Amino acid sequence: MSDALVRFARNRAALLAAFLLATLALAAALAPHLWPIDPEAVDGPPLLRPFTDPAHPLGTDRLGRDLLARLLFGARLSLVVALAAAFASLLLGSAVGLAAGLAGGRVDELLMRVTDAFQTVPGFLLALAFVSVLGPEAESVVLAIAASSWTGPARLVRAEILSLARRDFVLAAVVAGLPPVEIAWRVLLPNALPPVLAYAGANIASAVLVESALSFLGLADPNRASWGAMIAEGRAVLVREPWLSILPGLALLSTVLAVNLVGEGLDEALAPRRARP
Amino acid sequence: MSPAGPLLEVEGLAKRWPGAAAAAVSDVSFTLAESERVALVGASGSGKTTLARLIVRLIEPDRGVVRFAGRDLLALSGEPLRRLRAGLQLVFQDPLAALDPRRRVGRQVADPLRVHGLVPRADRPAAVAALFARVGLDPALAERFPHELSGGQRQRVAIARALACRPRLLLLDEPVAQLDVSVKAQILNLLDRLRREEGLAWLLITHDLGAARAASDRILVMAEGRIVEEGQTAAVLAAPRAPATRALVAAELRLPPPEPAPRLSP
Amino acid sequence: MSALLLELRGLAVSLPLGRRCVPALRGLDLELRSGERLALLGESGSGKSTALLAIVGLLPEEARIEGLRRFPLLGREPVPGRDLGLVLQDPFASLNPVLSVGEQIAEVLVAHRGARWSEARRAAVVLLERVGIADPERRLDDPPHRFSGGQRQRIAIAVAIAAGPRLLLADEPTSALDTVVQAQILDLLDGLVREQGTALLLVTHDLAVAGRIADRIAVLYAGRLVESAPAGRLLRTPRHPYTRALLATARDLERAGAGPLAEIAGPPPEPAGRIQGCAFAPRCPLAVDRCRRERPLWRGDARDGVACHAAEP
Repeated sequence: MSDALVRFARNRAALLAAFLLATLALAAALAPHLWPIDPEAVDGPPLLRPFTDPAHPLGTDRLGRDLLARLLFGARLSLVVALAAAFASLLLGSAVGLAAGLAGGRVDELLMRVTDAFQTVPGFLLALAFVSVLGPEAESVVLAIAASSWTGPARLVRAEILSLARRDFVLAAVVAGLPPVEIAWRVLLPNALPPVLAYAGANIASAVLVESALSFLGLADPNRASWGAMIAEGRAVLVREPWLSILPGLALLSTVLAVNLVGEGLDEALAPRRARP
Repeated sequence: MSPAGPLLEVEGLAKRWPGAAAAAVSDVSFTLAESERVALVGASGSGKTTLARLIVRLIEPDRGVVRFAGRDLLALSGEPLRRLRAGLQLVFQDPLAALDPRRRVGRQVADPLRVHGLVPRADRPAAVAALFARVGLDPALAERFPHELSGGQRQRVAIARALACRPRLLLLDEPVAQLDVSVKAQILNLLDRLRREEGLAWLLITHDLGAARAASDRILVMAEGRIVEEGQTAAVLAAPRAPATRALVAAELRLPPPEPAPRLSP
Repeated sequence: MSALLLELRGLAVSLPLGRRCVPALRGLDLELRSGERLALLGESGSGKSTALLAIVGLLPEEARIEGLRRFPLLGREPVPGRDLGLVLQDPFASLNPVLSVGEQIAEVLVAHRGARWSEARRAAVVLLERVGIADPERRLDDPPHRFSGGQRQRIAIAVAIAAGPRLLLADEPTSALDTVVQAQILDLLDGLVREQGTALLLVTHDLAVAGRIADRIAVLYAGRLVESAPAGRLLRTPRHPYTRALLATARDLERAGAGPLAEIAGPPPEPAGRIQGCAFAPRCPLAVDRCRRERPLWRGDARDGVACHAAEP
């Protein structure tokens, strides 16, 4: 573990991205203490430019709500939803992939056909459909995103399991007498997970984007500040006051970029080293 | 042979891979006694690796019987099979592939101890250290990962793991094929020492006649899935009869005979 | 004596390992004449594969290289494929899996001999036959995975010699093959290089392989040359204690007998850092104080000599 961390630390881009994300997460978590302004409160004059008034450093939106507060609270929503959704998607996908890879035969066939079915519908549309049915609450959004993205990890895990099951060290574990549950848990999973974890970076990033897209379209909870919704609100005044959309857009961009970099960094750091010839 | 009967009995074992034109293993029968060292030699494709995997039941045979210490290996499953497996261990050809790249080697050697409940948790580190010492490895190496060890060290780890459950029979699949000459000698000598100390029997699978000579008393020659010749190792290799055996012996490269060496003085 | 094809003087290579640079080769002097067959003998960590890669120019960018490498007969940098042919150890990795074997042989001729594709294909058929692939016309368009390991190695040899290079380099070409196929491949190599007058540099850890195919054997240990001599003489009367120990083990494996095999005491050398005195001293039965303090210098010439305080040149 520690050598993986050392390798990760050597990747400058990933390290920087990790710092950025950590700062963002911290800021989002401590939002009410850092900047104790209610994001929904109509607090100041509408459409105040950023960097003009110290009371509202990033300006205000069309209703006069403080943008910095909205950005911070929006971060909360985006991050929490994205992480929860990505986690759920990975959990579900890994479980399906593991079951399919290990069981083989009819079970594998059945699970793969279900996976196919989910994959034929474009992910975003599926999420849209779920949210329309389940409602705009954060929990529904999480479920919707998970439902639309679990198929990727499922196929990845299954492929890894299938290729691993033939490898000598797995056979050696069988010969050593390890029971099947232990082989799955101790030998197969730790070796199958790293590519999936790398995919997790992309998964989280895409979850952030889907959540923003859903709120952009007005399908998420209208009572909570969210980056996607902020971008949507800024559309009406895009030409005159572009920062309403640009600021949350930049926040979205940097978050997704950072998540991707950290994911790649983790993948490289966790990859097992090959021995010298 | 011990009064309890042969240690390993194989009768009529056969396996054909689906879609293959010829059988990989075809009607193979032989026995192996306690503390006996038998070599199974053949060119690649002769079916020897498949046979080894059939014997430990990593592959299911189409036909045939495998009896280990009198018990039918093929009739067992689940828990009793796993326990019987403790007595019959397989050492793989490529130690780098046979060790989990993500776990420290000490943990992997401890696996059989843990799984078969041979040693309580508190005593396990000491037991692992003792196993390492027995195969000539510094116990401190237990904390390393497989890619951090040399080929010879990895093979010793694999042997240590195989020895953990005190097996009576070892199947060694090309254990020294990937190793340098000097390391090869060390591993073969180690095996010899272990045999003398613990009364191990083994089935050594190899295409290398030198290893067969050094580490077996009896030899079985395989070709195209069948056993085509068997007998005392030295005798068979000195006067081979089956065409496959002749081909193996003829292909062996021999060194020119030595001349008396000049005295070296520092 | 025939013309000098390859000359190495003081070749030293350090390779990156983690954050450090570790010496793989510590100063190699070597010469190879046109048509000559030299075996570089050594175990893991001796630097033999590094030497081969240095000759071909395939070392990683981060490698530190010092010393001299010359090709006097060519008078310029060699072009791999045209002047040098390379056969590597793993027959399953050295051929491109998506191209047919015919294409892989033909492209060497097209690239280096300016042949047209149709001529190159015809030549490829001839080459396949020469290396012992049955039914070459039909198999020309088969991809590598339709062939066995031994056949793939034959094809790799065909690719290597297609353009008629002056020097064929082979890194453990038979280590991954069983003894029967090994003998066939060595016979093939032997015949080919004789026919075409190609020089051969074969890297191996197997004494018998070296004895079978080389005119001269150079023994490497911990990145340095410890002995070099005509093959027959080295195998019959080795001078360096390491060579003697290797031969003793190899001979023990040949005779049927009880009792332990001759072993070299102690672990193989670790690659890192400075070595005080002779690298083999910790394991040498003849080592004395001088061996641990003072590195033995090479005594003899570039073709025949030994580096040991105890041995006679």
